[in-house]
Amino acid sequence: MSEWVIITNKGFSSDEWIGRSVIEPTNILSDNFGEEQLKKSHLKLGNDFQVETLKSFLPYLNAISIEFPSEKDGRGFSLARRLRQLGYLGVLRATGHVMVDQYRHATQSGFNQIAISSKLAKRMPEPYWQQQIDGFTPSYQEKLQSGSTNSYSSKKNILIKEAKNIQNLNLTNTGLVGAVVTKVIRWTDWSFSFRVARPKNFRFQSGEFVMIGLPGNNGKPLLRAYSITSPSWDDELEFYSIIIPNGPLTSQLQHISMGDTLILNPKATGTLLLDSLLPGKRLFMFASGTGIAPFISLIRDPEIYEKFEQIILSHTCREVKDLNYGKSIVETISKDPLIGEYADRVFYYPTVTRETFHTKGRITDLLKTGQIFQDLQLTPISRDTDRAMICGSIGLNKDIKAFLETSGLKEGARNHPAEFVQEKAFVASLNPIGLGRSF
Amino acid sequence: MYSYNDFDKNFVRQRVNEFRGQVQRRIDGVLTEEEFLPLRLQNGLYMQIHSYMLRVAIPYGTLNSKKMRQLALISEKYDKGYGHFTTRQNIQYNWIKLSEVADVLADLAEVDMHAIQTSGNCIRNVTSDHFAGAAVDEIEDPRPVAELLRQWSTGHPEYAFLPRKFKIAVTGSPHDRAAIAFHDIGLCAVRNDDGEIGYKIYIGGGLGRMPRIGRVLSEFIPKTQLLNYVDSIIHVYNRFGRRDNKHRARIKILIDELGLNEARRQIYEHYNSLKNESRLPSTDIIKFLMDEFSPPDFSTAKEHDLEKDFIRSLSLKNWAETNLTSHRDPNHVIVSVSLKKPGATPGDATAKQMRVLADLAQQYAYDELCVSHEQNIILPHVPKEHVVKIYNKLDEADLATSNIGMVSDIISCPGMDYCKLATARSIPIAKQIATRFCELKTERDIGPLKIKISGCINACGHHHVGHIGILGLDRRGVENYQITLGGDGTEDAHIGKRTGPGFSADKLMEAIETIINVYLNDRKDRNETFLNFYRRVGLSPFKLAIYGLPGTAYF
Ligand SMILES: Cc1cc2nc3c(=O)[nH]c(=O)nc-3n(C[C@H](O)[C@H](O)[C@H](O)COP(=O)(O)OP(=O)(O)OC[C@H]3O[C@@H](n4cnc5c(N)ncnc54)[C@H](O)[C@@H]3O)c2cc1C
Ligand code: SF4
Repeated sequence: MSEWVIITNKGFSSDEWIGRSVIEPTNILSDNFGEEQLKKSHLKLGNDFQVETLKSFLPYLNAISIEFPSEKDGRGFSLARRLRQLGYLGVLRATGHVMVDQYRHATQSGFNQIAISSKLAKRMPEPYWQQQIDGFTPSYQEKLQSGSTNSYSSKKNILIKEAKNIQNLNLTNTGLVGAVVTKVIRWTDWSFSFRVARPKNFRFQSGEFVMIGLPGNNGKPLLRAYSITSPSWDDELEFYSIIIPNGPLTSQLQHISMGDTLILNPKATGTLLLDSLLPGKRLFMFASGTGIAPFISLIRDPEIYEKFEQIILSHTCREVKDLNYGKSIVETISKDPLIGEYADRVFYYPTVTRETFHTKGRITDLLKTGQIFQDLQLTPISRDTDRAMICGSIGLNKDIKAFLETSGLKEGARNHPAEFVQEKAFVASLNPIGLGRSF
Repeated sequence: MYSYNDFDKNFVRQRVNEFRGQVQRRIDGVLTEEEFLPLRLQNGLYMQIHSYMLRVAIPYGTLNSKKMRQLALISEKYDKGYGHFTTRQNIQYNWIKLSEVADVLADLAEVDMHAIQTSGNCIRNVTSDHFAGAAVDEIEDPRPVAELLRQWSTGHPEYAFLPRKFKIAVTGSPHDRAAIAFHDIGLCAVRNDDGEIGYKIYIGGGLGRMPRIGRVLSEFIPKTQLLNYVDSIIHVYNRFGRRDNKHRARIKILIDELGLNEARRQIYEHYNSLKNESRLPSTDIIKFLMDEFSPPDFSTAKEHDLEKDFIRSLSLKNWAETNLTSHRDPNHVIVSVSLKKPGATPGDATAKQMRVLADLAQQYAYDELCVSHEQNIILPHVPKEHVVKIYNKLDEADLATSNIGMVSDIISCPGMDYCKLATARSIPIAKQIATRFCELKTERDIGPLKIKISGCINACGHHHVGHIGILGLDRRGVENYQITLGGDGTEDAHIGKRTGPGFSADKLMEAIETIINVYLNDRKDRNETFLNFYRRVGLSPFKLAIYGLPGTAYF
């Protein structure tokens, strides 16, 4: 056995970093290490190091250890948390005097591995660590972070897992790429949003969707269609996801956290494009549930404000809190340096069907009665000035389409622009159009 | 009142199992005694002189009858039939067997209680105003925020091994009854110019060897950023607080060494990055917690003239004068039950007394009780019509001592009777002083006066903030008591000033009496309290009286 025993969520293993060249933090700041060199090194940090100074090196590093000089000294936990917060996605190791009872603290602070001396490992043998690995401790901090009042993720030890990288997933020759999760926000019991690093050379237009997912049980990728909610210029990709309790993908996807790698098919497509519409003055966007996703991308893209004078975004949900994701982004528009000046051209029209709210009811009814136009002090929809996009449940799409058609608007598509376009926010029965099946 | 949901229940049960596991690992030799120590402490288990002591958390002091009855039962099952309520609104059992600790914890878990983080170098049980939810001057009930902080700090993975203990107190009233300026972090509800309620943040206060009054770190933090803000403070403390010297390890020393401005800069660097990521807590959670603490329906209480009751009973009137406080609803009062019967140990209550308190709360007072940091028990909402009944029942249970805020309402740490660190006795001193003024029958004449006693320099008895503070030291094997004057734990925070050389145990009583006589003789009138008198005349008349003219040896 080597000098160090490594503990991960799989139990004991030997040190795979032995071949790596060790660098000291002070050297990294002064020497001009190349990217390749950094990738192959092991950065050893004392627990009093000012990790903020490492920020620009973090993308190139994938092996960092932090020293734990005694069982009483918890500085390393704060450093780990800070490194993760600064965007470090590689493997993080706690080295030294870490007690078996600190496994929980280490993993929840952002460590993937613990390294203890073989002497200490003799006193704290593997079965004791295994108990910690198997014993799931719900954490108040995760619960609060998720915004929930009474639930917690039932997933075991979310943070400690092999920092998966793309090679491990073996995506070579599949056309698929890995995308590292950089942020997850839980909005309600049934929804969350997440951001991933944007794969190199991946291009898309605001409003499009891609196939993303996780490795399935059979080892093959399990992918689903997802609208990208970030605008096309953003250097990260953002998504807004439903949680279907027994849904093959989302039942797993809801547990992702910073540093996980998702699988992405870097071919974006979709009909909800500005180019699928003929020029007009006002753009109406009708969404229900997660169907707001493509519009969240579009309203953050300056191009929409070049093409249209007024943007009306209507979002229908069951409960008030279901609106929060969309609302929070709409609220940021005015502060956005790129599009802040257009904020007063966005008319946000949330409606809620199952709770009292200032605008209650289905959007189709509010359209038919003219309530929406009254509320926003707008003239009714007309073919001359108005264009529209729809993204929601099958029912919503059908009803709005009918309404628009009676107003004289015609449906367009990617290759022949017209007055309105639609996309289903999801597929009602299991994947009738072949989207979202593993392949 | 906050009631545990599945998450909380599950968490507490898991922690009981965790502790059983830790004891087993210690027995198996997987953990050394040294390694076991911080784990044991984080479960509230101390080693005292004669036995183990278990400190049970009562978050922000709030209890209901069910919990109080369980505390009574535990004192009978595992201890000697009484418990000791502490200055941190907790309860301590002084005679616990190590082998039974896990069972006690399991019994506590049954009523949604635990001993988590009541000691050790972690974020301790959060304390608050004992009149929370009832106080007339309250901007808002501070307990939703206290509960939020309880949840957030419980089992926090990053902050379980801090340089030293970390104490947080919250108040919702401008009149500070929670001594927030003497905590590592103190939070006080304030309104900003838009009328929105947020919290003013004090940092670096504390007693102990180097007492400090907390300083204002921020005038206003919105509730939706409170956790991020507190997180940032403790993050900086965990990384940069001193670990080389136990006595210089509290955050107050870090603030001293960095200077408030540099400390603020470092904290804000972290805070700004957190703030941009998320609002913590979410508005949903804030709303949920505020709903949990929504007040009982006060409108059912009848109008009632207490004066009529007083005419019928002088002892009731006497008690009411000191132990009743106005409530925010005109048909209610706040009842303070004194655990300071002269001659008894301050803060102790027998199982029988705990049950009486539980019954009264359940029958007459919306099933709510609160432990005060002055070691008394509060019934925060009592309909005036029930006061007589409550008084009579308290009297039967030997709980009707009428001395709240008076000379004999003394705060005292356990001192030499229980505590390993003690350099002197403190409980016997408290008993002696209380009994003495009781005999003299001068208590009412003296009026509001807080005496606080610590058995060593660690200041658990808060002597620095006593109007009269007493610190017991060891001078070459002989107990020696130093006196400080003018301390104040409220919003008008002051650290008491030492009068001079200390007194032996047998001379101490005389010195205290002399001090009080100086006040009684020279005060303007009865409206000038001891503290105000001290502030007007300063230390010198007292010094002169207790030490004589300079050059005259006292000893
Ligand atoms: C073009 C397109 C874009 C999409 N964009 C998104 C998106 O941005 N965000 C997103 O969360 N999902 C989106 N979906 C749905 C997504 O592909 C998956 O169906 C969803 O992630 C659930 O996957 P699953 O494997 O857990 O369950 P599945 O087996 O895929 O679905 C089970 C059932 O759940 C229901 N369902 C699935 N998704 C939703 C939904 N979003 N809202 C309401 N009910 C639903 C359907 O009835 C479905 O039959 C999109 C689908 C399509 C076709
Ligand atoms: S002040 Fe000293 S003697 Fe009193 S309880 Fe604290 S440590 Fe013990």
